[in-house]
Amino acid sequence: MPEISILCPTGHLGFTPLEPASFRAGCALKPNFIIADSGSCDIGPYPLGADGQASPAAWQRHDLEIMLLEARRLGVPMIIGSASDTGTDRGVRQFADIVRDVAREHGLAPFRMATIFSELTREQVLGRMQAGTVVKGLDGRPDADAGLIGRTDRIVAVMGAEPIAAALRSGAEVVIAGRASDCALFAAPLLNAGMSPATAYYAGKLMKCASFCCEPFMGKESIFGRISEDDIRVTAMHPGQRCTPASLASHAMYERRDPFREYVASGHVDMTGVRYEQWDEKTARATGARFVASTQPMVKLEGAGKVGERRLAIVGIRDPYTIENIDKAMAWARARLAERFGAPEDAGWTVYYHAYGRDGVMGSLEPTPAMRPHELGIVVETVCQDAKRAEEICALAARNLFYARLAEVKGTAGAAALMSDEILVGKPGYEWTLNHVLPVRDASELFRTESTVVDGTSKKAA
Amino acid sequence: MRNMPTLRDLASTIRSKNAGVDHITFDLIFKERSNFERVRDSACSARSASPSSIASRANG
Repeated sequence: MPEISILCPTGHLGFTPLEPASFRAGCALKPNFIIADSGSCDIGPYPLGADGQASPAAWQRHDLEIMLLEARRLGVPMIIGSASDTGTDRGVRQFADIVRDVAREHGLAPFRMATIFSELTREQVLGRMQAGTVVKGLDGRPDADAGLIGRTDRIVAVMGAEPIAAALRSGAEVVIAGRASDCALFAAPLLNAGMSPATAYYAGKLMKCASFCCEPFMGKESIFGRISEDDIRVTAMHPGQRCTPASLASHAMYERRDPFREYVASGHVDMTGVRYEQWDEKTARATGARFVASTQPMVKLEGAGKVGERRLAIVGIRDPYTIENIDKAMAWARARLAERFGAPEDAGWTVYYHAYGRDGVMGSLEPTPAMRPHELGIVVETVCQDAKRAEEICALAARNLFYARLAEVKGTAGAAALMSDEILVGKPGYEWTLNHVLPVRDASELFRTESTVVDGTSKKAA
Repeated sequence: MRNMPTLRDLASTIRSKNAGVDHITFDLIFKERSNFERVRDSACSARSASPSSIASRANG
Protein backbone atom coordinates (compact mmCIF):
# COMPACT_ATOMS: atom_id res chain seq x y z
CA MET A 1 0.00 0.00 0.00
CA PRO A 2 1.36 3.43 -0.88
CA GLU A 3 2.38 6.05 1.63
CA ILE A 4 0.34 9.24 1.38
CA SER A 5 1.72 12.57 2.54
CA ILE A 6 -0.43 15.50 3.64
CA LEU A 7 0.53 19.09 4.40
CA CYS A 8 -1.71 21.02 6.80
CA PRO A 9 -0.91 24.73 7.30
CA THR A 10 -3.69 25.86 9.64
CA GLY A 11 -6.32 24.52 12.00
CA HIS A 12 -8.87 27.19 11.06
CA LEU A 13 -8.25 28.74 7.67
CA GLY A 14 -8.69 32.51 7.75
CA PHE A 15 -9.19 32.92 11.50
CA THR A 16 -5.73 34.51 11.65
CA PRO A 17 -3.38 34.41 8.64
CA LEU A 18 -1.31 31.22 8.19
CA GLU A 19 2.48 31.42 8.43
CA PRO A 20 3.93 31.10 4.92
CA ALA A 21 7.52 30.09 5.84
CA SER A 22 6.74 26.71 7.43
CA PHE A 23 4.07 26.08 4.76
CA ARG A 24 6.64 26.56 2.00
CA ALA A 25 9.06 24.29 3.88
CA GLY A 26 6.32 21.65 3.80
CA CYS A 27 5.68 22.22 0.10
CA ALA A 28 9.38 21.55 -0.55
CA LEU A 29 8.74 17.99 0.67
CA LYS A 30 6.18 17.56 -2.13
CA PRO A 31 3.05 16.49 -0.28
CA ASN A 32 0.39 14.45 -2.09
CA PHE A 33 -2.40 16.63 -0.64
CA ILE A 34 -2.79 20.08 0.93
CA ILE A 35 -5.64 20.13 3.41
CA ALA A 36 -7.14 22.60 5.88
CA ASP A 37 -10.34 23.00 7.78
CA SER A 38 -11.90 26.46 7.96
CA GLY A 39 -14.71 26.07 10.44
CA SER A 40 -15.51 25.57 14.05
CA CYS A 41 -18.32 25.80 16.53
CA ASP A 42 -15.80 27.47 18.87
CA ILE A 43 -16.76 30.83 17.37
CA GLY A 44 -20.25 30.57 18.87
CA PRO A 45 -23.66 30.37 17.24
CA TYR A 46 -23.80 33.89 15.76
CA PRO A 47 -22.00 33.27 12.42
CA LEU A 48 -24.08 30.17 11.63
CA GLY A 49 -27.37 31.69 12.73
CA ALA A 50 -26.83 35.00 10.94
CA ASP A 51 -25.04 33.29 8.02
CA GLY A 52 -22.08 35.57 8.49
CA GLN A 53 -18.42 34.86 8.96
CA ALA A 54 -16.03 35.18 11.88
CA SER A 55 -12.88 35.65 9.80
CA PRO A 56 -11.99 38.77 7.79
CA ALA A 57 -12.37 38.11 4.06
CA ALA A 58 -8.82 39.40 3.44
CA TRP A 59 -7.32 36.67 5.65
CA GLN A 60 -9.45 33.96 4.08
CA ARG A 61 -8.19 35.05 0.69
CA HIS A 62 -4.61 35.26 1.99
CA ASP A 63 -4.69 31.63 3.13
CA LEU A 64 -6.57 30.29 0.10
CA GLU A 65 -4.27 32.11 -2.31
CA ILE A 66 -1.05 30.76 -0.77
CA MET A 67 -2.46 27.23 -0.59
CA LEU A 68 -4.03 27.20 -4.06
CA LEU A 69 -0.94 28.55 -5.80
CA GLU A 70 1.28 25.91 -4.17
CA ALA A 71 -1.24 23.12 -4.80
CA ARG A 72 -1.47 23.99 -8.50
CA ARG A 73 2.30 24.45 -8.79
CA LEU A 74 2.81 20.98 -7.26
CA GLY A 75 -0.14 19.55 -9.19
CA VAL A 76 -1.77 18.06 -6.06
CA PRO A 77 -5.34 18.29 -4.75
CA MET A 78 -6.31 20.92 -2.19
CA ILE A 79 -9.15 20.12 0.21
CA ILE A 80 -10.88 22.80 2.29
CA GLY A 81 -13.69 21.99 4.72
CA SER A 82 -16.31 23.97 6.65
CA ALA A 83 -15.85 26.88 4.27
CA SER A 84 -15.91 30.38 5.74
CA ASP A 85 -16.19 29.38 9.42
CA THR A 86 -19.62 27.77 9.30
CA GLY A 87 -19.82 25.67 6.14
CA THR A 88 -23.13 27.15 5.02
CA ASP A 89 -23.96 27.34 1.32
CA ARG A 90 -22.94 31.00 1.42
CA GLY A 91 -19.53 29.98 2.79
CA VAL A 92 -18.98 27.35 0.08
CA ARG A 93 -19.90 29.83 -2.67
CA GLN A 94 -17.72 32.53 -1.14
CA PHE A 95 -14.65 30.26 -1.04
CA ALA A 96 -15.34 28.97 -4.57
CA ASP A 97 -15.47 32.60 -5.73
CA ILE A 98 -12.13 33.31 -4.05
CA VAL A 99 -10.62 30.26 -5.77
CA ARG A 100 -11.90 31.46 -9.17
CA ASP A 101 -10.67 34.98 -8.45
CA VAL A 102 -7.17 33.82 -7.46
CA ALA A 103 -7.03 31.52 -10.50
CA ARG A 104 -7.96 34.41 -12.78
CA GLU A 105 -5.53 36.82 -11.16
CA HIS A 106 -2.65 34.38 -11.51
CA GLY A 107 -3.73 32.94 -14.86
CA LEU A 108 -3.85 29.38 -13.50
CA ALA A 109 -4.27 26.56 -16.00
CA PRO A 110 -7.69 24.81 -15.92
CA PHE A 111 -8.46 22.55 -12.97
CA ARG A 112 -11.56 20.77 -11.72
CA MET A 113 -13.21 22.12 -8.56
CA ALA A 114 -15.90 20.33 -6.56
CA THR A 115 -18.16 22.23 -4.19
CA ILE A 116 -20.05 20.17 -1.61
CA PHE A 117 -23.07 21.79 0.03
CA SER A 118 -24.25 20.71 3.46
CA GLU A 119 -26.93 23.19 4.47
CA LEU A 120 -30.39 21.84 5.25
CA THR A 121 -33.66 23.74 5.32
CA ARG A 122 -35.98 23.54 8.31
CA GLU A 123 -38.54 21.91 6.03
CA GLN A 124 -36.11 19.13 5.11
CA VAL A 125 -35.48 18.32 8.76
CA LEU A 126 -39.16 18.63 9.71
CA GLY A 127 -40.08 16.39 6.77
CA ARG A 128 -37.82 13.64 8.03
CA MET A 129 -39.16 14.05 11.56
CA GLN A 130 -42.73 13.80 10.28
CA ALA A 131 -41.74 10.61 8.44
CA GLY A 132 -40.76 9.14 11.78
CA THR A 133 -37.04 9.89 12.05
CA VAL A 134 -35.92 10.90 15.54
CA VAL A 135 -33.44 13.80 15.55
CA LYS A 136 -31.57 12.74 18.63
CA GLY A 137 -30.09 15.22 21.11
CA LEU A 138 -26.38 15.02 21.92
CA ASP A 139 -24.73 15.78 25.25
CA GLY A 140 -27.94 15.38 27.23
CA ARG A 141 -30.09 17.58 25.02
CA PRO A 142 -33.65 16.44 24.42
CA ASP A 143 -34.57 15.11 20.98
CA ALA A 144 -35.65 17.79 18.53
CA ASP A 145 -39.30 18.74 18.19
CA ALA A 146 -41.07 21.06 15.76
CA GLY A 147 -40.76 23.96 18.19
CA LEU A 148 -36.99 23.64 18.33
CA ILE A 149 -36.70 23.50 14.55
CA GLY A 150 -38.98 26.55 14.39
CA ARG A 151 -36.57 28.50 16.61
CA THR A 152 -33.66 27.60 14.30
CA ASP A 153 -32.55 30.09 11.67
CA ARG A 154 -29.94 27.96 9.93
CA ILE A 155 -28.91 24.30 9.88
CA VAL A 156 -25.81 22.55 8.56
CA ALA A 157 -25.22 18.81 8.41
CA VAL A 158 -21.69 17.68 9.26
CA MET A 159 -20.30 15.44 6.53
CA GLY A 160 -17.92 12.55 6.99
CA ALA A 161 -15.30 11.56 4.42
CA GLU A 162 -17.73 9.94 1.95
CA PRO A 163 -18.79 12.92 -0.23
CA ILE A 164 -15.23 14.32 -0.25
CA ALA A 165 -13.71 10.97 -1.22
CA ALA A 166 -16.27 10.69 -4.04
CA ALA A 167 -15.40 14.17 -5.32
CA LEU A 168 -11.69 13.27 -5.38
CA ARG A 169 -12.43 10.00 -7.18
CA SER A 170 -14.29 11.89 -9.87
CA GLY A 171 -11.22 14.01 -10.53
CA ALA A 172 -11.58 17.12 -8.36
CA GLU A 173 -8.27 18.92 -7.82
CA VAL A 174 -9.83 21.47 -5.49
CA VAL A 175 -12.58 20.51 -3.05
CA ILE A 176 -14.50 23.22 -1.19
CA ALA A 177 -16.69 21.45 1.33
CA GLY A 178 -19.47 22.77 3.51
CA ARG A 179 -19.61 21.75 7.16
CA ALA A 180 -17.44 18.67 7.61
CA SER A 181 -15.89 16.75 10.46
CA ASP A 182 -12.37 18.16 10.54
CA CYS A 183 -10.81 14.70 10.44
CA ALA A 184 -12.93 13.68 7.41
CA LEU A 185 -11.03 16.08 5.13
CA PHE A 186 -7.86 14.09 5.80
CA ALA A 187 -9.59 10.71 5.87
CA ALA A 188 -11.06 11.13 2.36
CA PRO A 189 -7.84 10.73 0.32
CA LEU A 190 -6.52 8.07 2.71
CA LEU A 191 -9.68 5.98 2.28
CA ASN A 192 -9.38 6.39 -1.49
CA ALA A 193 -5.82 5.02 -1.20
CA GLY A 194 -7.25 1.88 0.39
CA MET A 195 -6.48 2.59 4.04
CA SER A 196 -8.81 1.54 6.84
CA PRO A 197 -11.24 4.04 8.37
CA ALA A 198 -9.25 3.60 11.61
CA THR A 199 -6.02 4.89 10.06
CA ALA A 200 -7.77 7.45 7.87
CA TYR A 201 -9.89 9.18 10.52
CA TYR A 202 -7.25 8.86 13.23
CA ALA A 203 -4.66 10.56 11.00
CA GLY A 204 -7.20 13.32 10.45
CA LYS A 205 -7.89 13.68 14.14
CA LEU A 206 -4.15 14.09 14.81
CA MET A 207 -3.48 16.52 11.96
CA LYS A 208 -6.57 18.71 11.79
CA CYS A 209 -5.28 21.58 13.95
CA ALA A 210 -1.85 21.83 12.27
CA SER A 211 0.90 22.94 14.69
CA PHE A 212 -1.32 22.56 17.78
CA CYS A 213 -0.19 18.90 17.88
CA CYS A 214 3.45 19.98 18.28
CA GLU A 215 5.39 21.72 21.02
CA PRO A 216 6.02 24.40 22.16
CA PHE A 217 2.59 25.96 21.59
CA MET A 218 2.36 27.79 18.25
CA GLY A 219 -0.61 28.39 15.99
CA LYS A 220 -0.82 28.61 12.19
CA GLU A 221 2.41 26.73 11.48
CA SER A 222 2.45 23.80 9.07
CA ILE A 223 2.75 20.11 9.86
CA PHE A 224 3.59 17.30 7.46
CA GLY A 225 2.05 13.84 7.79
CA ARG A 226 3.28 10.61 6.20
CA ILE A 227 0.59 7.98 6.46
CA SER A 228 0.38 4.31 5.55
CA GLU A 229 -1.84 1.64 7.08
CA ASP A 230 -1.59 1.81 10.89
CA ASP A 231 1.48 4.02 10.64
CA ILE A 232 1.03 7.78 11.04
CA ARG A 233 4.11 10.00 11.29
CA VAL A 234 3.63 13.71 11.93
CA THR A 235 6.48 16.21 11.52
CA ALA A 236 6.64 19.83 12.70
CA MET A 237 7.64 22.20 9.91
CA HIS A 238 8.49 25.24 12.03
CA PRO A 239 12.21 25.27 12.97
CA GLY A 240 11.33 25.89 16.63
CA GLN A 241 8.73 23.14 16.98
CA ARG A 242 8.83 19.36 17.47
CA CYS A 243 6.13 16.74 17.30
CA THR A 244 6.53 14.45 20.32
CA PRO A 245 4.58 11.53 21.78
CA ALA A 246 3.28 13.88 24.50
CA SER A 247 2.27 16.63 22.09
CA LEU A 248 0.59 14.23 19.67
CA ALA A 249 -1.19 12.27 22.40
CA SER A 250 -2.27 15.52 23.99
CA HIS A 251 -3.79 16.65 20.74
CA ALA A 252 -5.62 13.36 20.25
CA MET A 253 -7.56 14.24 23.41
CA TYR A 254 -8.13 17.85 22.41
CA GLU A 255 -11.63 19.30 22.74
CA ARG A 256 -13.35 15.98 23.37
CA ARG A 257 -15.54 14.95 26.24
CA ASP A 258 -14.36 11.36 25.73
CA PRO A 259 -10.60 11.47 25.04
CA PHE A 260 -10.59 8.02 23.48
CA ARG A 261 -13.36 8.36 20.90
CA GLU A 262 -13.76 10.48 17.80
CA TYR A 263 -17.21 10.28 16.23
CA VAL A 264 -17.93 10.70 12.53
CA ALA A 265 -21.03 9.95 10.47
CA SER A 266 -20.13 6.31 9.84
CA GLY A 267 -18.88 5.35 13.31
CA HIS A 268 -16.12 6.25 15.72
CA VAL A 269 -12.37 5.93 16.09
CA ASP A 270 -11.41 4.03 19.23
CA MET A 271 -8.10 5.42 20.52
CA THR A 272 -7.92 3.26 23.65
CA GLY A 273 -5.02 1.15 22.41
CA VAL A 274 -3.00 3.76 20.51
CA ARG A 275 0.76 4.10 20.97
CA TYR A 276 2.98 7.10 20.41
CA GLU A 277 6.73 7.07 19.88
CA GLN A 278 9.44 9.53 18.90
CA TRP A 279 10.39 8.76 15.30
CA ASP A 280 13.03 11.41 14.70
CA GLU A 281 13.89 14.79 16.20
CA LYS A 282 10.81 16.55 14.83
CA THR A 283 8.51 13.59 14.17
CA ALA A 284 6.24 11.47 16.35
CA ARG A 285 4.60 8.24 15.20
CA ALA A 286 1.14 6.97 16.14
CA THR A 287 -0.28 3.48 15.68
CA GLY A 288 -3.01 1.24 17.04
CA ALA A 289 -6.32 3.00 16.40
CA ARG A 290 -9.47 0.94 15.82
CA PHE A 291 -12.67 1.94 14.05
CA VAL A 292 -16.10 0.93 15.23
CA ALA A 293 -18.62 1.26 12.43
CA SER A 294 -22.11 2.29 13.51
CA THR A 295 -25.00 0.10 12.42
CA GLN A 296 -26.65 3.11 10.85
CA PRO A 297 -24.88 6.32 9.73
CA MET A 298 -25.68 9.23 12.03
CA VAL A 299 -25.05 12.71 10.66
CA LYS A 300 -24.54 15.49 13.16
CA LEU A 301 -26.68 18.60 12.73
CA GLU A 302 -25.67 22.04 13.94
CA GLY A 303 -28.30 24.74 14.16
CA ALA A 304 -28.50 28.25 15.53
CA GLY A 305 -31.42 30.54 16.20
CA LYS A 306 -31.75 34.19 17.12
CA VAL A 307 -32.53 35.08 20.72
CA GLY A 308 -32.58 38.85 20.47
CA GLU A 309 -30.75 42.12 19.98
CA ARG A 310 -27.75 42.82 22.18
CA ARG A 311 -26.50 46.00 23.80
CA LEU A 312 -23.43 46.46 26.01
CA ALA A 313 -22.14 48.97 28.54
CA ILE A 314 -18.93 49.04 30.59
CA VAL A 315 -18.96 50.18 34.20
CA GLY A 316 -15.99 50.51 36.54
CA ILE A 317 -16.35 50.24 40.31
CA ARG A 318 -13.60 51.62 42.56
CA ASP A 319 -15.41 52.39 45.82
CA PRO A 320 -14.33 49.70 48.32
CA TYR A 321 -17.72 49.57 50.03
CA THR A 322 -19.58 49.13 46.73
CA ILE A 323 -17.11 46.44 45.65
CA GLU A 324 -17.73 44.58 48.89
CA ASN A 325 -21.47 44.84 48.33
CA ILE A 326 -21.50 44.46 44.56
CA ASP A 327 -24.05 41.63 44.70
CA LYS A 328 -26.42 43.88 46.61
CA ALA A 329 -25.83 46.68 44.11
CA MET A 330 -26.63 44.36 41.20
CA ALA A 331 -29.70 42.99 42.96
CA TRP A 332 -30.94 46.52 43.60
CA ALA A 333 -30.37 47.42 39.95
CA ARG A 334 -32.18 44.30 38.78
CA ALA A 335 -35.14 45.00 41.04
CA ARG A 336 -35.51 48.48 39.58
CA LEU A 337 -35.33 47.03 36.06
CA ALA A 338 -38.12 44.58 36.85
CA GLU A 339 -40.23 47.41 38.26
CA ARG A 340 -39.93 49.37 35.06
CA PHE A 341 -39.84 46.68 32.37
CA GLY A 342 -41.61 43.73 34.00
CA ALA A 343 -40.16 40.46 35.24
CA PRO A 344 -37.48 39.32 32.78
CA GLU A 345 -38.98 35.89 32.16
CA ASP A 346 -42.41 37.37 31.41
CA ALA A 347 -41.29 40.48 29.55
CA GLY A 348 -38.59 38.81 27.46
CA TRP A 349 -35.40 40.56 28.45
CA THR A 350 -32.15 39.38 30.01
CA VAL A 351 -29.37 41.32 31.73
CA TYR A 352 -25.96 39.79 32.41
CA TYR A 353 -23.48 41.51 34.72
CA HIS A 354 -20.03 40.14 33.84
CA ALA A 355 -17.88 41.14 36.83
CA TYR A 356 -14.30 41.09 35.57
CA GLY A 357 -11.92 41.12 38.53
CA ARG A 358 -14.21 38.69 40.37
CA ASP A 359 -15.69 35.96 38.15
CA GLY A 360 -16.10 37.57 34.74
CA VAL A 361 -14.26 34.72 33.03
CA MET A 362 -15.61 31.62 34.73
CA GLY A 363 -18.88 32.85 36.17
CA SER A 364 -20.47 30.37 38.54
CA LEU A 365 -17.67 27.86 37.83
CA GLU A 366 -15.05 30.12 39.47
CA PRO A 367 -13.50 28.10 42.31
CA THR A 368 -11.51 30.95 43.90
CA PRO A 369 -13.36 32.49 46.85
CA ALA A 370 -14.33 36.08 46.24
CA MET A 371 -11.59 38.49 47.32
CA ARG A 372 -11.89 42.20 47.51
CA PRO A 373 -10.11 43.63 44.46
CA HIS A 374 -9.33 47.33 44.37
CA GLU A 375 -11.44 47.72 41.27
CA LEU A 376 -14.02 45.79 39.28
CA GLY A 377 -14.86 46.11 35.61
CA ILE A 378 -18.45 45.19 34.90
CA VAL A 379 -19.62 44.50 31.38
CA VAL A 380 -23.37 44.93 31.26
CA GLU A 381 -24.92 42.81 28.51
CA THR A 382 -28.60 43.02 27.59
CA VAL A 383 -30.54 40.76 25.25
CA CYS A 384 -34.07 41.62 24.16
CA GLN A 385 -36.16 41.07 21.02
CA ASP A 386 -36.61 44.77 20.40
CA ALA A 387 -33.46 46.79 19.74
CA LYS A 388 -34.72 50.06 21.23
CA ARG A 389 -35.90 48.32 24.37
CA ALA A 390 -32.58 46.46 24.64
CA GLU A 391 -30.82 49.82 24.53
CA GLU A 392 -33.05 51.33 27.20
CA ILE A 393 -32.74 48.33 29.48
CA CYS A 394 -28.96 48.28 29.05
CA ALA A 395 -28.69 51.98 29.89
CA LEU A 396 -30.71 51.56 33.05
CA ALA A 397 -28.89 48.36 34.03
CA ALA A 398 -25.60 50.28 33.83
CA ARG A 399 -26.74 53.56 35.38
CA ASN A 400 -28.50 51.80 38.22
CA LEU A 401 -25.10 50.53 39.39
CA PHE A 402 -24.19 54.19 39.62
CA TYR A 403 -27.31 54.96 41.63
CA ALA A 404 -27.33 51.78 43.72
CA ARG A 405 -28.76 52.47 47.16
CA LEU A 406 -26.55 50.71 49.67
CA ALA A 407 -26.92 51.24 53.40
CA GLU A 408 -23.56 52.79 54.19
CA VAL A 409 -22.41 54.48 51.03
CA LYS A 410 -20.58 57.64 52.08
CA GLY A 411 -20.47 59.27 48.70
CA THR A 412 -23.30 61.37 47.33
CA ALA A 413 -22.17 61.50 43.71
CA GLY A 414 -22.66 57.95 42.51
CA ALA A 415 -20.60 54.82 43.13
CA ALA A 416 -19.65 53.76 39.62
CA ALA A 417 -17.41 55.13 36.87
CA LEU A 418 -18.82 54.62 33.40
CA MET A 419 -15.99 53.98 30.96
CA SER A 420 -18.02 55.98 28.53
CA ASP A 421 -21.65 56.93 29.00
CA GLU A 422 -22.82 55.18 25.86
CA ILE A 423 -24.55 51.98 24.98
CA LEU A 424 -22.56 49.84 22.57
CA VAL A 425 -24.34 47.94 19.82
CA GLY A 426 -23.51 44.23 19.93
CA LYS A 427 -24.17 41.64 17.27
CA PRO A 428 -27.55 39.95 17.77
CA GLY A 429 -27.55 37.12 20.29
CA TYR A 430 -27.98 33.57 18.96
CA GLU A 431 -28.19 30.20 20.69
CA TRP A 432 -27.17 26.74 19.57
CA THR A 433 -30.54 25.15 18.99
CA LEU A 434 -29.32 21.97 17.32
CA ASN A 435 -26.52 19.80 18.62
CA HIS A 436 -28.19 16.63 17.42
CA VAL A 437 -27.72 13.64 15.17
CA LEU A 438 -29.93 12.56 12.29
CA PRO A 439 -29.95 8.87 11.34
CA VAL A 440 -29.65 8.35 7.57
CA ARG A 441 -29.53 5.39 5.18
CA ASP A 442 -26.49 6.63 3.30
CA ALA A 443 -23.81 8.84 4.87
CA SER A 444 -23.74 10.98 1.69
CA GLU A 445 -27.46 11.48 1.15
CA LEU A 446 -27.71 14.93 2.78
CA PHE A 447 -24.90 16.47 0.73
CA ARG A 448 -24.95 17.97 -2.77
CA THR A 449 -21.82 18.05 -4.92
CA GLU A 450 -21.30 20.31 -7.93
CA SER A 451 -18.30 20.09 -10.20
CA THR A 452 -16.91 22.80 -12.45
CA VAL A 453 -13.73 23.53 -14.34
CA VAL A 454 -11.93 26.67 -13.23
CA ASP A 455 -9.90 28.18 -16.03
CA GLY A 456 -7.73 31.06 -14.90
CA THR A 457 -6.54 31.72 -18.45
CA SER A 458 -9.90 32.23 -20.16
CA LYS A 459 -11.11 35.42 -18.47
CA LYS A 460 -7.69 36.98 -18.75
CA ALA A 461 -7.85 36.61 -22.51
CA ALA A 462 -11.35 38.06 -22.62
CA MET B 1 3.79 23.48 52.64
CA ARG B 2 5.80 26.13 50.85
CA ASN B 3 7.90 23.63 48.90
CA MET B 4 5.03 21.57 47.60
CA PRO B 5 5.20 21.43 43.80
CA THR B 6 2.29 22.84 41.85
CA LEU B 7 0.57 21.32 38.84
CA ARG B 8 2.58 23.76 36.79
CA ASP B 9 5.78 22.00 37.92
CA LEU B 10 4.49 18.48 37.27
CA ALA B 11 2.32 18.59 34.17
CA SER B 12 3.48 19.39 30.64
CA THR B 13 0.06 20.56 29.45
CA ILE B 14 -2.63 22.25 31.52
CA ARG B 15 -5.60 23.45 29.50
CA SER B 16 -9.30 23.97 29.34
CA LYS B 17 -11.21 23.90 26.07
CA ASN B 18 -14.80 23.72 24.97
CA ALA B 19 -15.71 20.31 23.61
CA GLY B 20 -18.45 21.05 21.14
CA VAL B 21 -21.13 23.48 22.21
CA ASP B 22 -22.26 22.00 25.52
CA HIS B 23 -19.13 20.94 27.42
CA ILE B 24 -15.86 22.22 28.82
CA THR B 25 -12.91 19.87 29.23
CA PHE B 26 -9.97 20.22 31.60
CA ASP B 27 -6.88 18.29 30.50
CA LEU B 28 -3.67 17.65 32.42
CA ILE B 29 -0.95 15.86 30.45
CA PHE B 30 2.14 14.43 32.16
CA LYS B 31 5.33 13.28 30.49
CA GLU B 32 6.42 11.17 33.48
CA ARG B 33 4.18 8.44 34.85
CA SER B 34 5.42 9.19 38.38
CA ASN B 35 4.15 12.76 38.15
CA PHE B 36 0.81 11.55 36.80
CA GLU B 37 0.43 9.06 39.66
CA ARG B 38 1.55 11.58 42.25
CA VAL B 39 -1.13 14.05 41.18
CA ARG B 40 -3.77 11.36 40.72
CA ASP B 41 -3.17 10.04 44.24
CA SER B 42 -2.67 13.39 45.94
CA ALA B 43 -5.03 15.61 47.86
CA CYS B 44 -5.54 17.55 44.62
CA SER B 45 -7.82 14.77 43.58
CA ALA B 46 -10.09 15.48 46.51
CA ARG B 47 -13.57 16.15 45.31
CA SER B 48 -13.52 19.81 46.21
CA ALA B 49 -10.84 20.61 43.67
CA SER B 50 -10.88 17.75 41.24
CA PRO B 51 -11.39 18.15 37.53
CA SER B 52 -14.34 15.79 37.68
CA SER B 53 -16.15 17.96 40.18
CA ILE B 54 -15.57 21.01 38.03
CA ALA B 55 -16.59 19.07 34.94
CA SER B 56 -19.78 17.89 36.55
CA ARG B 57 -20.69 21.47 37.34
CA ALA B 58 -19.73 22.58 33.84
CA ASN B 59 -21.94 19.90 32.40
CA GLY B 60 -24.74 20.46 34.85
